[in-house]
Parts: sequence; structure tokens; C-alpha cells
Amino acid sequence: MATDDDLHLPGERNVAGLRCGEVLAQLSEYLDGRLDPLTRASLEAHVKGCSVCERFGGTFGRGIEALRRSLAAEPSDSDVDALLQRTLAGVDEKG
Amino acid sequence: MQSEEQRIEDARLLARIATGEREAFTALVRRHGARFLRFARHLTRDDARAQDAVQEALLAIWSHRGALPEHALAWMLSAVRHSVYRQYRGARHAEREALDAAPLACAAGFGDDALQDRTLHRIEDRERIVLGLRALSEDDREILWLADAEGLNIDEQALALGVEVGAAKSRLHRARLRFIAALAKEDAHGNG
Repeated sequence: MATDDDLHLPGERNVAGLRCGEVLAQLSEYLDGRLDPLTRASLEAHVKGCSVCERFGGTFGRGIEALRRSLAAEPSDSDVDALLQRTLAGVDEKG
Repeated sequence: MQSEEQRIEDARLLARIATGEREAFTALVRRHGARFLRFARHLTRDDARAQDAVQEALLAIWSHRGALPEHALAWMLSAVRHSVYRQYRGARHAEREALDAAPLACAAGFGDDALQDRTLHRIEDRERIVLGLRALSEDDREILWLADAEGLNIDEQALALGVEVGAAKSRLHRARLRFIAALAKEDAHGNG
């Protein structure tokens, strides 16, 4: 479970067999549903017993949810027709 | 994120384009042109550059119309990405900073309730999120787009970026932490 990419944080704790740094290093994989069931369960057990990781995990998750909403709201460009005409002209040139 | 039906439709269009069918190519541009323009504009922050880059990418897709990639959308987004950086070669600087993850986590507010309170307040304000994104590097913005706007899985992100899966995982997580840190950072006037 531990990787070279793990964080080593000052004052971190070992809860449910995981250090806080190991939990933080896997937050994106947890959020994206990429953890195997056993690793996921270990991480959740740590978070349940560590208020610092529980707090930060919540902030991280809500921050990324807000990011996703914001990116989805970016306006669609209305110049697809112009793009299409220019691109087809290029296709005609290339053959 | 694309549904299985959307993936199948992309594959069908590319197969028809491979035979030289212009109608299929037109359909592809209409189907994905807006998303390519949004991605290019997200990278360049310049409408004119984005238009030029996407046109070049589409012409490259037409030129390589014999290719039938397994992950069609990731392949096409990779073409857009390459076009953006090829057109403006030298304007992009490779990430050279040491990726010291522990200070990054602390900057993102780990163990600091006040900093996290500020972040949680700011995520309610879309303008703050836009400012946070603008503070990031091109490398960070592009992987956040691929993962959190396009919903590509990690294999597709790696394919689009031309990196190993392990590198994509690491890069995505650091980009997300830097985004959270950018939200948390106190501005020049010390405002919360």
C-alpha cells in the first residue's frame, strides 16, 4: 500500500494501520473510485478514527466537486460552424 | 464522462472517416467541435489561438484517418493538446519544480482548520474558483480538464498526455492539491 509517492506530514498519526500521509496520497484515487475494496476499507477506517484526515478529506472532496461544477459551466463556443467551414477548406486543399 | 453508446458512435464515425467520408468528418466536427474549442481555450486562454489549434488538430485527425484508436476521445483530445503546444513551441515551459508533496498538503490546509474554513467559503463563489484555476500551470490545468471536465479515466488521461499511468496519477493528485491550495491562499489584500 505504501508507495514512494506517500507524504510524510509533521505530526501525522498511524490509525487503523495507515499513516495520515498514506491516506492523503490516495485521496484522488478514493474520490475517483479507483481503490480496491480492501484498500478503500482501510482508508475509511483511518478517516473514521482521525479527525484531521476526516476534515481535510471532506474539504478536498467538496473542493473537487466545486471544480467539476465550474468546469462544466464553462460556456460552449458558438463558432463551431466557422470552425467547420475553415477545416473543410483545409481538407479540400489537402485532398 | 462518455457513455458506452457515445464511445461506440465515435468509433463508428472514425471508421467511416477512415474510408474518406466527408459527411462523417463533418458529423465529428459538429459532435466534438465545441468541446475541443473549450479544451483549447482552457489551455491557451486565448480564443484565436484556440481556434487555430483546434483547426490544425482536426486536419491532423483527417490526415491520420486510417487510425482507429481504442480510446477515440482521448486520442482526439491528445491531438488538440499537441496542436496547442506545437503551434506555440517555446511558449510552454516544462514543469521543473520539485514536487514536495508534504508542504503542498499543508498549503492545501491539512491540519489547519482556519485555512480549510476559508476554502469551503470560497468554493461557493465561482469567481474564486476561476481565479484559483488561473493561478495554476498549464500542466495542472490540462490534467484537471481531462479528469474533472471530460471525465476521462486514468488510462485515458495517460494516453491523452503521452505519459505512463503512474505519472498521470501523481500529476492529477498534485494538480488537485495545488488547486485547493490556490483557493486557500490569502490574496494580496489579505482578504478571506
